[in-house]
Amino acid sequence: MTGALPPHRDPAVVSAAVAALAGLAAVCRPLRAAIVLTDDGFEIARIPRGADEHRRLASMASAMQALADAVVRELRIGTNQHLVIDASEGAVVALRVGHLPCALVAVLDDGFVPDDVAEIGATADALARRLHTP
Amino acid sequence: MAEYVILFAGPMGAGKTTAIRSLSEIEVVSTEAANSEPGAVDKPTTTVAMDYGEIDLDPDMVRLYGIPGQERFDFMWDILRERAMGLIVLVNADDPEPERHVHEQLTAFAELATRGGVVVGVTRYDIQRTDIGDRIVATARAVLPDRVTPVFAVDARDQEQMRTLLLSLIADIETRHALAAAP
Ligand SMILES: Nc1nc2c(ncn2[C@@H]2O[C@H](COP(=O)(O)OP(=O)(O)OP(=O)(O)O)[C@@H](O)[C@H]2O)c(=O)[nH]1
Ligand SMILES: [Mg+2]
Repeated sequence: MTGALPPHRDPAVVSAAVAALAGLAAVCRPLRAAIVLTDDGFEIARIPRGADEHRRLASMASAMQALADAVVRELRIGTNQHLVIDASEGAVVALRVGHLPCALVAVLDDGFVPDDVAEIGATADALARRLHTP
Repeated sequence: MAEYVILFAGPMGAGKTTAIRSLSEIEVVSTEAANSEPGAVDKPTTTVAMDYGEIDLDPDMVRLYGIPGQERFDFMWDILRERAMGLIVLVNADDPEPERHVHEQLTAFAELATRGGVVVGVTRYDIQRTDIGDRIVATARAVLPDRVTPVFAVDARDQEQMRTLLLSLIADIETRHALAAAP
């Protein structure tokens, strides 16, 4: 990230995020939707594109992430690695993209396995490496 | 001893987080994230879920919740509105459209303002002195015609000023309860 533009309007960041999500979709079968977002809830990229049901997912993921961080701080249990909401008919996984002010949130169909969560983590790590400008 | 749950509403940059930090006697639970659009409101961070603080106004215990000002977080407004008993709407005097914000926030939280109590605080007067006081009073009267909504100029960074604002809200809530309970 160059820092000159906000991440969600920086073409280099947007194209890296689009590519990362396409890669994730190819390896994670239960993936229903995913968004790369700024920490303050602006959407950088998403799949599937234009799905209105996930309109508020970026801002909700931003709020969830911040609340999870607050709990981790309060309990002094290190740093928040990822957040999983395991629902009766699906799941939501959210995690930070490296040390960047960005996060990745994924919605999974029921029947996901730990490997799927690992793929989401690997995608976030790879995106962080790609965007990291020393 | 009574317990009050007070909600701070208002647009981005009004000073909700600052006010709760000024008032709280416990370490504030905050959910700040880097502000990606400093061109819109120039400050380093913005609230994305809520602020939470507590103050002991012997004998009353007051829980303070701040909402995120940006509308894309309005699902948090719904969650926090339900538990609140009183409303403090903050608006910054240097905002381009302070009346519109006061109108929107009082409309969004009208049920709470009517059920509990409400006060409006106009912040950042030292940055932009305007004549908006009367206009804010008129806006509040238009949204809530059946009640008097007090409007104060306050500095969200100033503990004493924020305490005065909070105490006037609690007095308002108590008066309404007393009137409602009267035979
Ligand atoms: N000069 C001056 N600055 C003030 C006054 N009141 C608040 N501020 C400043 O205005 C800014 C308000 O920012 P926040 O408290 O983050 O605003 P917020 O309402 O929580 O905004 P969001 O969480 O983004 O919706 C802070 O930098 C405060 O220090 C005031 O009366 N005068
Ligand atoms: Mg705030």
